[in-house]
Amino acid sequence: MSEARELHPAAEISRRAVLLGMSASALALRPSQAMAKAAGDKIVTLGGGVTEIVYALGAGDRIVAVDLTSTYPAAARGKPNVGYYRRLSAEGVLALAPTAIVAADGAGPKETMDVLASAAVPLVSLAEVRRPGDVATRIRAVAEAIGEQERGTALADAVSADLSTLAEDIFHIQKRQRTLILLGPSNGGPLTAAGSQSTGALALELVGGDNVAASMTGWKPLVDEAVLALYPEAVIVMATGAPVSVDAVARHPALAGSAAVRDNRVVAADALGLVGFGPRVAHIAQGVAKRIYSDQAFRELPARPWTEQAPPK
Amino acid sequence: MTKFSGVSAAIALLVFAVVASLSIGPVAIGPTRLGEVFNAIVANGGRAGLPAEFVRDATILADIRAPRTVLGALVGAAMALAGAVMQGMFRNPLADPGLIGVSSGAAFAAVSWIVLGEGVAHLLPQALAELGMPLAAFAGGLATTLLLARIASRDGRTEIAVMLLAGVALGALSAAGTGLLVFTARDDQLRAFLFWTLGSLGGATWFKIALALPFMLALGLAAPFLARGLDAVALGERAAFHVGIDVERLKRVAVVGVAAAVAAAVASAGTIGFVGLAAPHLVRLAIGPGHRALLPASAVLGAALLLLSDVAARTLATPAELPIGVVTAAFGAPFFLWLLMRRRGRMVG
Repeated sequence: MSEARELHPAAEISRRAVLLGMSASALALRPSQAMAKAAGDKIVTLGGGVTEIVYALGAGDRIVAVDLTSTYPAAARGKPNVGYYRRLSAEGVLALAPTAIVAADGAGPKETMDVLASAAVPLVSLAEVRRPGDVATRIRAVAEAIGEQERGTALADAVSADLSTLAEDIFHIQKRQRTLILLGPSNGGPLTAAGSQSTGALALELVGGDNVAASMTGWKPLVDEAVLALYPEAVIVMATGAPVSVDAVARHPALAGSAAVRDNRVVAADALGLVGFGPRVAHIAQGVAKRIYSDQAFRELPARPWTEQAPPK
Repeated sequence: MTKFSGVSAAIALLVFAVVASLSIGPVAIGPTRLGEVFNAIVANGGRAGLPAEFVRDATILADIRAPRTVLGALVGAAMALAGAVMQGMFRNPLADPGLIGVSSGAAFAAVSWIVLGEGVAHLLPQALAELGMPLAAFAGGLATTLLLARIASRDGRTEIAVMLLAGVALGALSAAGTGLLVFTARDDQLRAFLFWTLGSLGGATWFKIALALPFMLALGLAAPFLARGLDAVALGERAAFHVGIDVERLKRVAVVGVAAAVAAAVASAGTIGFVGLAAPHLVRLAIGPGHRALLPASAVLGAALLLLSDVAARTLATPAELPIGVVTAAFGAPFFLWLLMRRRGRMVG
């Protein structure tokens, strides 16, 4: 399994408990309940995508605290908050007496994660999502961490199926759009775009756009006239907080004369849903792809409970 | 170097910088092509209906490079002029506009907007909402300085020493607020703030220039009045008073003028360091400390230096843009050190 996890002895014990639960299932007990018990009902989720997965697994009511980036589903906002997942305080997390901690990649600082790992609480640190296939792997890892393997497999399969449907539809597109993916509006300054080796680049892969800024790496501000010369035919703006005004982005001097603006292909996309690589990713990526390839036929993705605002029960 | 040749040299450098800024960029549009496009626009009587082979380059020149060049020249001039006025007023070669709280206040306001502004942006008209952060930075910078001036004044007199110390205290307070907001910020917000503090001329529009211009122009128009006063103040406030300078009025005009101009500059391009400190020193080295030549020459040199830095910022890492503050410091600081070592003892005017 490519998932790199730091398993503490305590986690090992809980995993054994999980295995016990599995053998219990062989004895026709109620498997998911037994497994859930093993992980306990005080889960702390660190990272918006992780929180979404736990809700999609139907375990939202077992979450005792989330981090600042956990804004979906709406119920997550009502949970106690341990702060920004990259700047955690170990004591703040441990004070909640969690029975399981599931952390997205990038959770930190390292010192805090070390303390959490050495405390007697099962901690699962997820690996970065680098390929589309990692989305399912991550779902299964979260499911295992909270003892919901069966539902995890079902969720991972469903999301994989949706991603495959989208990927097949995109495969049939004759000409890929030259696309620029922006980190929010410009705030009156230069545009910040995703180069290669970034979450934005992977999102573009899912959406089926060719990254015009692939010659640089990471998220970086761009020279205005270089944007013009890159000739973007579509622009995706990550909405990280407040709704993004697509018109305002379209008026930026670097984009004002571009094909993307001319053809009305400046699209705002929910950042958590798209680059959080949670269970909604296929639906959100398809929504963006439909805007970018407006004359292309896309098969309707099945309605999934986790793409609705209300958490599934 | 005589005053005349010194000022001429600065103007020549500015002309060179303007041409460089218009003709160098990630898209190859050299001076020759620049002339062709310009002629085509003139012959066509405007940009509407321009022959297709000129459209892209005309867009780059008129909508991107020209506003960027004008904004860069204005910001550089405002920073350098403000630095020269501050150094004269505080009679301290290390003085820069940061001393009167304008940069720290602007930074605090900028990060406040980035972290907390999401909820209020929709209350503004759209044209202003997208400039919410620059507007906040401008208001924050100006307000901090006005508060400082109020703290340092009693019975119509402004105590320079009190102002310096209170400026440090207000700066620390702003920094605490900035730190608190940085602590609560998400990564994308942190990134936006960090790049803002390093400065950029990207996203320049004529609208933005029109908003900033009056405040920078005000300091420029006050410069002749300030020059006379600052020359007298160089001999001490009492001496200045005895040669008939209204020292209190001078200080008020200097502080408010600098605050408005620098707040506008910081709002439009972020906190770009070093130009405001170094440009006046370079001028002083060349033509001496008299403010009547020092102030205009500093402005011209500041404009030229910022434009040249911007040419580097937009070409060295293309298509990505280097923060211009990185360029001004990376090229400016070693050059400044070299000058200091060569002309040791002659720096303090």
